[in-house]
Amino acid sequence: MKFCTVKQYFDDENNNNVTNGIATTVIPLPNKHLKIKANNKEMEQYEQELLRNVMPQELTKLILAANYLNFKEALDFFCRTVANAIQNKSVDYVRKFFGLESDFEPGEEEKLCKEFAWSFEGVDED
Amino acid sequence: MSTGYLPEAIVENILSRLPPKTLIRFRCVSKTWLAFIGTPDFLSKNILIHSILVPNNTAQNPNPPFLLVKAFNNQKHICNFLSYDTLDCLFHFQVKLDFRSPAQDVYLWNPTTSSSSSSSSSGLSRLTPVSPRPNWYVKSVGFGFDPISNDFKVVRVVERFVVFNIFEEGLSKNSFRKEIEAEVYRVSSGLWRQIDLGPVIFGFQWVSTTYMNGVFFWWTKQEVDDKIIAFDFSDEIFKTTSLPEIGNADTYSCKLTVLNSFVAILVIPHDHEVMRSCFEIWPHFVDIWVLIEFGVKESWNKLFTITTPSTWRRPLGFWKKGELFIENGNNQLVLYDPFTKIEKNLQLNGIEEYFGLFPNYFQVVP
Repeated sequence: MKFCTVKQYFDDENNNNVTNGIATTVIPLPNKHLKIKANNKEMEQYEQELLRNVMPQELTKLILAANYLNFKEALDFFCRTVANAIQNKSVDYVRKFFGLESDFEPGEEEKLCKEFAWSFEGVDED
Repeated sequence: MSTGYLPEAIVENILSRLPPKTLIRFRCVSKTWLAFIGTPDFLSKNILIHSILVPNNTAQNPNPPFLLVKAFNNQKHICNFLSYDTLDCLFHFQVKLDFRSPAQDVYLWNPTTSSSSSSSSSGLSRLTPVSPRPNWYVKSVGFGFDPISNDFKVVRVVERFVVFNIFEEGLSKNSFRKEIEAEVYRVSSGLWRQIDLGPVIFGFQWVSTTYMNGVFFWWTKQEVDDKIIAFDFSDEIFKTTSLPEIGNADTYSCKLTVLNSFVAILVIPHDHEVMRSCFEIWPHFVDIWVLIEFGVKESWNKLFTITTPSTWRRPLGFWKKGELFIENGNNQLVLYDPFTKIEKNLQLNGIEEYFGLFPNYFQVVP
């Protein structure tokens, strides 16, 4: 059930998983979902509005919140948004975004990039 | 796995929504992502193959509503419109086509204006010969739908040889030059309009054609380098792409088709000693190549090689998720799943040699 975790969240005293700011974004979503149930277009517009002021980096926090709250629709929506946001981004951008480091041997990465150089065409500037 | 900020399951959720070009680039992020995303090996169930076989953005690249399966016997064209989702036969027509000047005129046929959707009509109904050009030879024709202007269009490439006199060394000689033009016909206006061919060369003949989402494709044989030519019905521009290295032109027969929203080719290598007609392919292999980015030769990926059973005659095209339509030795339509290797006979009989399959992107209004 969508709201079990939410209840648990309010019961927990020291909750580091979901900061207040994030909670105010995520928690109203179930209500809105129920109201606009089958109307996809309206939901899309609402979602676009919601994310207009959210920086891509904050999306990771939103995702973790939705994951913790076990809220599948919001999780899918945020993942979809991240996918759209990173689709044209560079490898470096993606590393920073996901908090990853390259673990290639020296020269390995270069070889890969060279072999698939065509996939780097048209990538957004960082 | 070094997960960074997000757990693996969520990273998978995000990556599974990305197109193949992006995924191929992101394999350079880290070793773990390289393994995670995978290689374009058809039979693996990795994220990269999934992005090629399964449509992600169905709003931009919708599945066609119908598949048109055509069989040909003497002068009779037998057309079956199958639902793309269920493969049930929705409409069935038989048309006898009787042309006066076979190679020069372009005819349009609207199946919805035939007598009734379930009966066979022996004659033509509502065909309009589309302005022939005397003395010009029709090199290539394409037909499609422009979703922006909401109009059906025909593109035609015509060629002629112009003979003229020249004076050389005191003698009058005949010489000739080749003129080639491209034109587009809009069904709504009923008019032809000349368009720029650009640097595109149409070669000797086209080997195979296909159509997807408002773009018509030809595979043309040229002297040096075979090419795939694309014509976008919306912006009315020709583009080309080279083919991958598949070997010498004489040693394969090939079919141009589409897989999901990508151009794909089915290549059947021929044994030199056992050179058969290109419609008999046993015992042979079919190589499946997919083009991730049109215009980029390096983005061709050989997905898979199928060893063809003796019952097959030739492959026709793809259905959903990489399943293949095949014409078998009994002129029947068969659906083959390369993952399970199971064949399903669709109970549609074709006759004689020509058995074509066309993904039909047009909304047919009964």
